[in-house]
Amino acid sequence: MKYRILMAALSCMSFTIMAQPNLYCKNVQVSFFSKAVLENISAVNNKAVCVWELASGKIECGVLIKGFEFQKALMQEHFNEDYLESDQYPKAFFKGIVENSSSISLKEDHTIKVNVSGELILHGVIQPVHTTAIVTVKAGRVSAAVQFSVLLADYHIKIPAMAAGHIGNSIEIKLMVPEFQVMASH
Amino acid sequence: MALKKLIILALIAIVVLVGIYFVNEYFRKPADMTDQKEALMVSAEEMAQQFELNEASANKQYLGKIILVKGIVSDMSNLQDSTLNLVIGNGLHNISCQMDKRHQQLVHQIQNGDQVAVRGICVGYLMDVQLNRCVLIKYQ
Repeated sequence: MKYRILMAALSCMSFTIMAQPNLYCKNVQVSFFSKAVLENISAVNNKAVCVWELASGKIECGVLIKGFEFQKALMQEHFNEDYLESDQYPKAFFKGIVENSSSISLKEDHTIKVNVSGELILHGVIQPVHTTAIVTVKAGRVSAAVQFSVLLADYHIKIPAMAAGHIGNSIEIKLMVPEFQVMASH
Repeated sequence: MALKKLIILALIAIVVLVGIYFVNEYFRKPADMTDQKEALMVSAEEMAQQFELNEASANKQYLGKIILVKGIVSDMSNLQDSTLNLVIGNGLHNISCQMDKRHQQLVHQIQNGDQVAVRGICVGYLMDVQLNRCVLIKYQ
């Protein structure tokens, strides 16, 4: 019994010390969508990784290009071989800052909009990205959703003339973080 | 005259065959790992270690290839689109296998600690080594 009380006291203490924990999630869903005349193109990757330092607002996300699954095999092959050249550039990253990150309380349930800015590294090209994220805190659990669009030309993604009419110039990228885990402190 | 007819028929046949080929290609689904042959067979520990030591050379060996991985299941979870995910290995970095939705029934019979063999496509290394479209080959 004494042990239990001690453990409870300790866990409370560690909570106050860790008021601004580092968060991570290994099963972030990244999906993209491109509207075009002939057909829409969409793909999903369920295992992107995000790490977020609440105190500083620093956030980093990574995703494996070959991990995007399409409905059609041919699209997936073209995506990897011709457009994103995933043998050469196997990953995409986002590195940025969440504004006012340190003021986000994990104790009360709420949903807020935060500005996120940083850079996206895709197809070996670095470009700035500014967007807003919706962060939800519910019973101490933190989830988040972000949406932004990128121009293919900005990332030197060339669409062959033959396919030009089938693929839109910009794609909409969506990130869904189902639940951040608290990183074990050192 | 008969020759002309024959040529026209042959041309029509070619056009139809080419058409069928393109339509099939267009609607082709990503390959099913149950009836594919793996390029490499490896234990979860060895594969994870190779990526930890030298990601670039491990990528050369595994990236985009069909791999059969053997090891002990340490975690099972549902991903956001309800696909099952198995983690094989119990190290700092493991093999994270996203199962093929079409063949998930078998997976429900296994639990943490079981020895399994899984076939899937290696899509790279991001904290864990990720395999996609995995199917369970056998379990004990």
